[in-house]
Amino acid sequence: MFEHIIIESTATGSTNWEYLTPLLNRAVFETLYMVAMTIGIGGVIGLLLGLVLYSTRPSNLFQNTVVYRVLDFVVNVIRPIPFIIFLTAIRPLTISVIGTSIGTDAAVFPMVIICSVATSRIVEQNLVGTDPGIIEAARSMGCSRMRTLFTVLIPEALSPLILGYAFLFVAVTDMSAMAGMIAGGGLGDFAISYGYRQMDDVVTWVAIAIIIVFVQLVQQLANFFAKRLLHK
Amino acid sequence: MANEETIIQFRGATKVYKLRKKEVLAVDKLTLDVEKGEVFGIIGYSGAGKSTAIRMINQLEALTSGKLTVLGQDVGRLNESQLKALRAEIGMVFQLFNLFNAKTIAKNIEFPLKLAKWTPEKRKARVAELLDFVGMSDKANVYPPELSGGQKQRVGIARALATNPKILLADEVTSALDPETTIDVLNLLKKVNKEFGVTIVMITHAMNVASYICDKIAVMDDAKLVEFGTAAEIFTAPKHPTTVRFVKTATESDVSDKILSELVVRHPDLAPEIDDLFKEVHNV
Ligand SMILES: Nc1ncnc2c1ncn2[C@@H]1O[C@H](COP(=O)(O)OP(=O)(O)O)[C@@H](O)[C@H]1O
Ligand SMILES: [Mg+2]
Repeated sequence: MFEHIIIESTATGSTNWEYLTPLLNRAVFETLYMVAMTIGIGGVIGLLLGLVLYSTRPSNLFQNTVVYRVLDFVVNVIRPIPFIIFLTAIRPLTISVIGTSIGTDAAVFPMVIICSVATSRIVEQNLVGTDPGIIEAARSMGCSRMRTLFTVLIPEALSPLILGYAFLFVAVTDMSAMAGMIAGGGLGDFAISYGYRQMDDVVTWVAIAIIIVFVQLVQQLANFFAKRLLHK
Repeated sequence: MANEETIIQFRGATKVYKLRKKEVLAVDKLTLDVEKGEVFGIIGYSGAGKSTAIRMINQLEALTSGKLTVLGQDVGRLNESQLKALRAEIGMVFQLFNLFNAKTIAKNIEFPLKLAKWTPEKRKARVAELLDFVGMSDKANVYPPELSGGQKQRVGIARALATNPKILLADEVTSALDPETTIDVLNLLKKVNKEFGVTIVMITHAMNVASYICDKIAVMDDAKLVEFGTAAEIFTAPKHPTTVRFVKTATESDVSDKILSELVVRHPDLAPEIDDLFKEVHNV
């Protein structure tokens, strides 16, 4: 059976770019859409969850053991689930929220959940690394807890936070490559359908090259801003 | 009864930290008066409870029991907005400066003014005035990581003074500085006390620092107040063993000459005793 495919593929010769280019454009758009939606929604939810995780820790601004333990547990449970399994496991929830379990939006939904959870941990860890003395200084001036969180703490941790988000960006791009599993499209789907299955490695490499350029661009941008914000 | 000029009044102030397994008695029934306009020193070894005691004054730590009156208010009974108002009257300076690294020097100093809702024009004028007072006008737009320790502490002091507080709390503010810079910062604090009449409560584990700047000294050991007196009394006639050891370390320190001569100026009546100490230090 396989032999048959190989023979057929090599027989077709060079790649038909005239046919593939519109499909590639569409795949790039789908990847950008999935990544932007996921980072946009999941990144914000994750930031808020991360702030809750950080500030409810013992001896922090809004110390609350119950909230911390529950959220910490939820994050620990969801985070290690491989995305491909999570994607299929929450199918009923995806249907009830998005209305369907196939297509790009159906892929974005589980991506947002995983991204929120991962972001919350990254945010929490970066905030834990900030000097508690800075919070103490703000509090000693009569700065309210909320104001301390948003006008002192976040600006102080902004540089590592930006790098954390760049890291997430790579993880989300990675997740988006699995969207093809549920007909979500994107570059991963493109590489599998027209590269791997057609035994046309060039197509796969083109898809990879686009992803590398895309990720590098974001990483370099993040490095630039993170460095500027360090003031050292 | 404390007199009218008492600005901070500890009455049996106690703090117990409840940890998972055990309880830590950090401050044990502290009773103490700080008078308006003085430089009040608290000395003691690490873990004696000094930081906990000073942090009670601006309620960074709540009391477990006892009473603490600051500027006429029972601090244990204040709600969030009253506490905010009280904190605007109390500046605080820290050992490791605690400057906001993401904000420029000017923005650091401006921050408490924003909290106190000063108008932008008034804030700008006040920041310029403070930068000038601490001799840092040329560094207004620089970020804290670019400054030396002494410069950071000057900014810390300027920031703590921004809202014209009546009290300045200083927790080991010279411990991270070299001897020369220590003297600079202590002189700045003296100037703050003399020129603005700000009452200063300062913690140190260096007796020479305390004797250089403090009018009164309280010695804490193992959560308790063990000795209290004027700087001259403590320095020349220490009673408690902890105090005795502190005085000894002070005279052995490398900045002690400067401090001894300063003591002579401030307490001419004690000149003979101080002279003896000086001789003892130099083995003559
Ligand atoms: N937040 C805290 N939780 C538990 N124990 C504390 C806390 N802060 C201080 N302590 C304990 O209280 C005691 C006094 O500490 P502290 O006031 O910092 O002393 P000092 O400033 O004199 O070194 C120490 O035994 C210290 O370990
Ligand atoms: Mg301390």
